[in-house]
Amino acid sequence: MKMFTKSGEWLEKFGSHYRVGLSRENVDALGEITFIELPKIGALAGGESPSAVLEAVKAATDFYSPIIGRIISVNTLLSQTPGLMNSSPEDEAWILEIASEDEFLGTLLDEKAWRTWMTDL
Amino acid sequence: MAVDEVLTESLARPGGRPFFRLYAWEPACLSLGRFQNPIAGLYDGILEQVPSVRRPTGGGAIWHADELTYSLGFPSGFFGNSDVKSTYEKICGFLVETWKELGWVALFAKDSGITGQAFGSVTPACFAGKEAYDILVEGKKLGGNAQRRDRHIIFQHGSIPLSLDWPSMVALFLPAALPNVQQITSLLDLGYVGSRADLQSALSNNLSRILGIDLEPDTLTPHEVSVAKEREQLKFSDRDWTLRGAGHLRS
Repeated sequence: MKMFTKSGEWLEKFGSHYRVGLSRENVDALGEITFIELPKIGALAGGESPSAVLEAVKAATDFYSPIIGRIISVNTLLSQTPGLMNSSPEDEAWILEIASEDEFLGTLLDEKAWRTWMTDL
Repeated sequence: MAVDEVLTESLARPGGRPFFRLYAWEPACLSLGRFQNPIAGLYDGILEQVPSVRRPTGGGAIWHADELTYSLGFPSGFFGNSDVKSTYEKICGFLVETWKELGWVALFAKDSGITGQAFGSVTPACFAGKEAYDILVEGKKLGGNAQRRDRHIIFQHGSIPLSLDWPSMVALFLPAALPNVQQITSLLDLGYVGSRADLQSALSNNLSRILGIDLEPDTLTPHEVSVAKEREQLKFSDRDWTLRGAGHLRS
């Protein structure tokens, strides 16, 4: 099941790895995504270091993985089709897959709670 | 660029303060956007012939000749839970107000009633693009702006051309990438007769008023100067960084 952090990243667990991406609301706030700088497979993700950079028409913005671990896959489709971030941010436009034994330590919201929380902001 | 980077790092630290910096370029210089591929839109080898640098902000290339450049940094929460476009509107309000004070019709492109022109396309030359929050003065685009964001800060660069160095732009950009000379303008073209100091004062006053903040003159700390010099040598003067950035560029 897809879960959301309060800062708008999503993560979904598949066995021993997580797939992570950015919520539709956060992508919409950036505008049209024109380029994504993806990290190298094998790099560490999470913590205070950004794992990717999204360039929108008027801003370049860091993406921070919500989970700490080692990157095992990046969505190379985004390199050729960055617009996928706008059209399918919570499905086809996942950004990284991360192998991690860790659990997310903060508050996670399911999709319904996330949408409600965003609406109430 | 090194000073701007050091200022954003200081801002991101606990107790860091927002900043507003105005500066000019000597010699004139071509800046590339953070992920811009220099082979797109520029003449082959042109970066070997003119001073050039890669910005931390996105967008297209700018030839910084006779211009006033600004940089602004705020904590990420300064504007509330604001998206990119709404922070543009808030931040760029000081520019719109300054141009209005000079008696010019100044609008965001989204409010100009222009139809038939797509907003949002990426162009190799910053001034050739037209975005919803670009500022049109007397119907023409004046300068350009771009942001860099992380979880701590919102940083914005802006270029205000005092005059347009059109011959240099023609020599730098391929014809297809050149801005339409009928659609861009400069303060000289608009008839500005004040001094650079007058302009700086007006911009500062309007930024303070629009955002409800007090601006205090300040200088870099010795540590910031030292780090900026080191960053200039190791990063921003490095040809490899200018040509290739971190290795991933727009096609």
